[in-house]
Amino acid sequence: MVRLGGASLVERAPVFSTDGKRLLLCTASTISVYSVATGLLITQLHGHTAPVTSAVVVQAATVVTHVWTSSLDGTIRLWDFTTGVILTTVHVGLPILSMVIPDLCTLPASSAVKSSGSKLKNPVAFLSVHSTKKEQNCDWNTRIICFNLTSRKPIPGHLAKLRSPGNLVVSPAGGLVGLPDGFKIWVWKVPTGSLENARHIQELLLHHTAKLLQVTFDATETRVAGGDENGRILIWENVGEHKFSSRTEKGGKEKKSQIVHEHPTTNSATTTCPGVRGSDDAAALTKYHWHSREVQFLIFSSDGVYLLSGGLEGVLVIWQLETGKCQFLPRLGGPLVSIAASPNPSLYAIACLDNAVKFVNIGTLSIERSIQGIKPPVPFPKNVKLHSLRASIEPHERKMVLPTQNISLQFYDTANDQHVGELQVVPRNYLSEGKSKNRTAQLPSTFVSHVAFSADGTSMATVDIGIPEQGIGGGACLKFWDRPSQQLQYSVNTQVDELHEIAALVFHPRELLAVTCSHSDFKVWVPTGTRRNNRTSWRCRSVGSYRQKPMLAAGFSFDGTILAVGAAELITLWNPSTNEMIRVLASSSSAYISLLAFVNHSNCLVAASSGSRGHLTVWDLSTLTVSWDCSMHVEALAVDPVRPNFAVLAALPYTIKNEGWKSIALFINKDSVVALFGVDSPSPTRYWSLRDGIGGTILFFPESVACLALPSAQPAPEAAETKNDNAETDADSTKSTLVILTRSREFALLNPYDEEYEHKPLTTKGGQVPDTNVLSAFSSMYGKAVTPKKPAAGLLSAVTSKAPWGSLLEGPSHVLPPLTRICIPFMESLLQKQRGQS
Amino acid sequence: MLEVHRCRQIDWAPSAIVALATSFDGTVVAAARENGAIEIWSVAAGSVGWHCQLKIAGRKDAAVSSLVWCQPEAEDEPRGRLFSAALDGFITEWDLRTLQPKEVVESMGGSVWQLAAEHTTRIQKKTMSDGVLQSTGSSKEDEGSSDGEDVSISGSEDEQQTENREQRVALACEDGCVRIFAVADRQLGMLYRQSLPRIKGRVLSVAWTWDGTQVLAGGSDGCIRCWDIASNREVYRITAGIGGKGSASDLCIWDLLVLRDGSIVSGDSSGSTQFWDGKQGTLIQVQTRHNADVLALAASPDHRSVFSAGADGQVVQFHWVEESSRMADNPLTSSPVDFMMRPTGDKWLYVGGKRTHTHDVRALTVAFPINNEDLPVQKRRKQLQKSKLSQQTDYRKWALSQTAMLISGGNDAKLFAYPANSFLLFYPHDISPAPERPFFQLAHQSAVRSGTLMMAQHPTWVDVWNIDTYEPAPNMHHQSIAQPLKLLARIKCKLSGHITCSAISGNGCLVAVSDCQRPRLYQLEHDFTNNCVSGGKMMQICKKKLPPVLRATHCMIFSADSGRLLLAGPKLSVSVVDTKSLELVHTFQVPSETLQSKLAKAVIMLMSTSSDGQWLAAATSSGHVVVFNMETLRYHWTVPVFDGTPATAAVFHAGFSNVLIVSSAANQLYVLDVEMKVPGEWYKRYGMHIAKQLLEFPGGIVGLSLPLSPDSTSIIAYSSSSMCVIDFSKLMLDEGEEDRDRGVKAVNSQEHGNGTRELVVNGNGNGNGNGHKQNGSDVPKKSIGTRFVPFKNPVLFLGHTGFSSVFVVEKPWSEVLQQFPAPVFRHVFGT
Repeated sequence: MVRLGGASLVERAPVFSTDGKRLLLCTASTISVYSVATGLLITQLHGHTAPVTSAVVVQAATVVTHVWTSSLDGTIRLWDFTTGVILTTVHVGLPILSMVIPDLCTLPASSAVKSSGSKLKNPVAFLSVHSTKKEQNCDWNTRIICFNLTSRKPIPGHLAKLRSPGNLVVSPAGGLVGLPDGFKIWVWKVPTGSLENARHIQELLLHHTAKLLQVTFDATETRVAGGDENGRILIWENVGEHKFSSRTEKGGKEKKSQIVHEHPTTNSATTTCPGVRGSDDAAALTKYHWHSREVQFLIFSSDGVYLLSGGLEGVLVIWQLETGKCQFLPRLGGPLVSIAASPNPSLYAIACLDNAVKFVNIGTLSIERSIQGIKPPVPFPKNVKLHSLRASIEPHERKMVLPTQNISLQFYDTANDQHVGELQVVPRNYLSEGKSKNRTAQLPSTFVSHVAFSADGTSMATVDIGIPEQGIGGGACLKFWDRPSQQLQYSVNTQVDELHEIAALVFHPRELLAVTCSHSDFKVWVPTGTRRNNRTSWRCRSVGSYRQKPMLAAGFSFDGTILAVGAAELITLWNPSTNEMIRVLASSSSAYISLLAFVNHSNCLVAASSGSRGHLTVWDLSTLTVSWDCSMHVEALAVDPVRPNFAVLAALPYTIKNEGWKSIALFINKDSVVALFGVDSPSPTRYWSLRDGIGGTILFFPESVACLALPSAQPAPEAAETKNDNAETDADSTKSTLVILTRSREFALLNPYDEEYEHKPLTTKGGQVPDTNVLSAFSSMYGKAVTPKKPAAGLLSAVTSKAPWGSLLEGPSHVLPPLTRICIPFMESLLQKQRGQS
Repeated sequence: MLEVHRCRQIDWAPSAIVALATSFDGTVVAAARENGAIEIWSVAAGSVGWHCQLKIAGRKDAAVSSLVWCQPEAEDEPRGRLFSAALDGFITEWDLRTLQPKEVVESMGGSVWQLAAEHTTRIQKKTMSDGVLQSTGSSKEDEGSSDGEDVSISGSEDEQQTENREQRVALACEDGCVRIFAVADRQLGMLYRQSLPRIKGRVLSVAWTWDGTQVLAGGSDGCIRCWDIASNREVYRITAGIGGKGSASDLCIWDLLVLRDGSIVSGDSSGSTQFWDGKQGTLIQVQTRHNADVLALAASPDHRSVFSAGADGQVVQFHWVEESSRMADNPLTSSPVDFMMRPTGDKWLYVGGKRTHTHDVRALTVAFPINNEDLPVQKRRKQLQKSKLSQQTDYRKWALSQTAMLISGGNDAKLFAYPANSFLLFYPHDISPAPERPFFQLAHQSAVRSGTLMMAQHPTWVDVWNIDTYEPAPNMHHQSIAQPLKLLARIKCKLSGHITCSAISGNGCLVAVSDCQRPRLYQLEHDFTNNCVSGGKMMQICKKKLPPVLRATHCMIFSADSGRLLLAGPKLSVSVVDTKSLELVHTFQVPSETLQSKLAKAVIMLMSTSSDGQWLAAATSSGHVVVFNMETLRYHWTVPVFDGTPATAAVFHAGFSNVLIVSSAANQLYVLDVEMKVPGEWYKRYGMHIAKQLLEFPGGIVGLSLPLSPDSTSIIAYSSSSMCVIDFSKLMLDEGEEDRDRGVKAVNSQEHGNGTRELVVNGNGNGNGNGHKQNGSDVPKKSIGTRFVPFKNPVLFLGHTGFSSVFVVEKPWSEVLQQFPAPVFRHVFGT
């Protein structure tokens, strides 16, 4: 089975359900439905074969859980998102970039059921489609068309042709549709009757002097706000007074008489429209400027008094339009990209670029809850050449640990696809990027390059590297962290400032002993006291070097008796306890060794180097000879904890000597391959091709900590529980889990020995349904009792979602029936479950 | 090759604008400065044509707080009567023909913070025959904004029966009273009428309602009170601190404005502009768009826009936006469920602001230049030409037709003009790029010292400097900052009034100075006793006694041979005094039969004498130039008005002494043959050609300079931001391609290449945007004889010191700005 996860939650704007209890996110080709109350994933809708571009929730009194989605695969689908069933599929045939359905925006008044019924019969969607036709002399590639969803036919004619696609926006009442396009904004009036030709739709244009990126309407549909690339916000008043007025003659006369009454000397025909450019149909244009860079979203509050805007500064700005006062909600953690208004007027969902959706209460100016996805990777500066670690696995809780932006570590539960915690390695606030458009100039000056854990999980070591600025500063900082309790909370024990960048960091598999490799030597670090509970510091016990060669990789044998350190192109073997050198291994390759690993349950050592002259060498340590080698660009290396196998993430474009690899090259646009090797043969036992693999990594989940007989580790009662818990999943000792993490931080979780997927090359953006976590009856019985001790919220959700009492306890506490009423069904559900299983 | 010597040594400290008022007919705007000087600027619909008509010199310890124009007592003075109020508690009426105070009245309540004149019906409307004003009145009604000036012109038609009623003026007094004075007919000054009950604190602002029955007063206690004049009682009281930011106790209401529909606008010290209902005194809306005190308010003629300006240097526009008619159409928004969500439709909307001033903006006014006989059709056609040449957002675009102008003035001594109806779309126009420019004069044939002497006139003293025109070494640049000037003498004026005019004789021996009371004559002599002790001042000043008949004058000049001192007196008379015998020789008078109505009211603004001593030309504020023959001591000719604007400079040619070259405020050059009383030969042929090119000249021409040699054919016209070299002889040549650009190019390149640090100042950057771009090479091909050279810094004076050397007095605007008190601190993003 393959479990996928880690898709971006913030590519598209989130959407609230009609009742405001659920939040729909477009995650790659699926739609994820989250609970607003808990922030947990409820269900996922699978069916689209390409990324979903927009979701439109049907606003109706009767049907509350229907959603229309559009996708790049050219289809529009109607779902029931409680059951996950596709109700309708409409084929458009062209990739849909954006979709709005104005007819579904409003809740039809309860008195006019008939009219609402007729309205629902004929919903018209406004689509922004990518034109596949390659015509000569055309500088546009996107068309705005109308599509009748009932008759499943496009309405003839188009509304506009664009060069750069923007997102279609509909007013809250569904009367207007807007689209930013270059220096202007299109506004279309949604026709009330049936529509034969798109040309009958009334339109108007609003102009500006800079490129507009955003547009939004207020509830009255008379005010339009736009945001431009320089961070200015423009608000047009009384838009469409002349062009959209349905009662032009009558209304105009009424208005004129009023004016005459108020101002006897003025004439309405000559009134000026301050700020409005040209003959745009608006009464006035006001400009505000707070954002220093482009405005990412704009939305009016439902009463039209406030305007919310956000941008790359990571600050939510609340404009009080009448008085010009501003409120700010800063420190939202990252650049803001989109917003969604919930039916609750004070609650908004804001998508941050660090893959989090935050529920913000505008009244209290606080973040109520957040849905945190896997954080995006740190852009790695090109002038740092060392091979840094991209992810690691925390052995105790078996969570993936990723270095993220803002010099912190994210703990991620891959099994439940859930964020667990975050640890700031260096305290620092989020700083918005500068004004320059050059992204490479804005790379962070400090970032985490390595993370390693001791085998019992009680100690963690991190390395953060500072980039020298104009030759000054820089260097690495090695930190040892203690975990005093069983929770994922670490405190700094020792901090060591190193002059040189640290290229490798490994822990001894049995003891509390760490090895760092840098410049021309390696250092062995031990705690000064032996007792773990004592607050002892770490010190450098010994230093080793070989011919002043740069040491870039290190590895321990599985029993910890041999330390292998790569010294340039050589491998040196050391005794870590006595610090004496045992042997030097020299191979034919001249590439510097960047990865070293002992293969478990065998006498083999794998050394790999990356780059164009990359090489993979397997040494047999019993004979001290090269068992086999081949040339490939190795990105990452992982050894199976239980079998004498290892996996390699290699880049494809380099010449592959082995015959068995030729078929892989057929997979175009997949740049890398994950191969599983045995120690005996250079031909892989299994392989998966991978998109976006360069810059990714692979990891094997280590054996559970309880399985290791660690003399210094005292098994706590919680650990015993974990053993019980994991006993089911790891009962089969042949079962091991491989994590493949791509550059875009999507990951796949799979058992590499599962025969079922042998012939199916892995595509990370595929639409496989993930298997649900199978839990034993024991854990389902006692899972709730155990979870308070567990720090991870992920397990809690897994348990609750699979609870035998169904949805009895779902929902906030104040809506639950009294305990006396739910006690009996609750107990009955447990008893039934046991009976059924026994 | 033109040598340019530059000098930055001269002090230049313009003072802040504290008050602005539009005249009764809207053609001129009076601007009061902090030092007491009052300037009368004529309003132009656009950028060209703004000029300072009259200047009233300031005096020591003057603290003008407010200006107001009241209705004229006679029809021949359509501008109205100008009153100024000061913090010393006196109200002064000014005589614009003599530039002297007419009458001074005490306020009886201490300092006067603001004056407000009652809105009166326009008398002219009924009494004016089918003249020009009648037609303009109808054209204005087409504009839909007939008479909406700030405080002075009324619009209520139903009060025409009370047309001869005396106009009342309300005074905001220090002691907490609002006092009502009346401007009586046929009487000087004001008469006390009434005093409203006293309140605690001081009254800072007053405004009349449009019907004249109520007065609104805002005080330092944060309250706005509405007083009924007839009953002398308070109608209602508004506590303005509730809506704004500041606490109510220490809130100051700096300005009040009553709109025609009755609503009240207030600007207070919290930075809020608040809109109140005029009947009940309830708050309609609060707009906090200023970071510091709101000091001034003005309304556009149609009263749909309100402008506010404050201590943060911003001018902000609010606009009245009515509810969209689509609101009623929309079934979705009119449903009862969404009724609560509807924002109120009609509202005052913040549109935007401009930050043109670097310091506090203290005064705003709106003027509506009406098209009277001063602006002939030809002028307007020229404006049309200009607009075609200009770019999209160039300020000249709104120079097209009858545009209401908003004028702002502040602590940075600058005046900016904006179109009131399209405030945001165009760049503002810097009316006075070099405010309060000191007066300079050169004396070439110095008898007391070698080299050229330069006289600089400052408000309270006159300096005489020595310019060493050194020969440039061959390895040095030809153009550089000149050697430090040597101060030869400083003549201080000890009286309270500031110096109105001064003159230095051609030989440098005599300096004449006049303040607002009488002229004085001084002789400069070598002081050999302490020659080496005081390095700078090596001249001894001897006072000479002038005939006591002479009264205050506003223009003086010496004849070319320094033998005569010519003083312009009232009613276009020019007194001639012999400098040797110190006796009044003659008084020129313009014959009364040639006096037109316009000319009779005018004041001589500048004079020029020909080098052979035959001619005296006196340019008046009405635009006429009167020529006298000094040999026969007779009136010779009155040059008719050129283009409606007065002359800004007039010089006689050094060689052909009957050739007079005059520049007008509309940036035109005129060459006259004075003897023949006809336009010059050159002007007949090339006048239109030059005129077109001068339209592109950045800034208004403020001076002309001729080379000293008698056979020179070139002339330099300069504004504060650029200069134009016009060569008559090259104009004669047809399109011959010769090394025409060489000289100017050399000047240009060296100006950028010299080693002095120069700051590009933005203070005058608005007005001369064209000039910076226009290098010597960018000059159109056809202009052989004219070349534009931009200046980086504001230039105060330019004069020839030789045939091909020019002396320039300049001062970077950033240095001038440092003399002003620091503005309200403003954090600039990214610093």
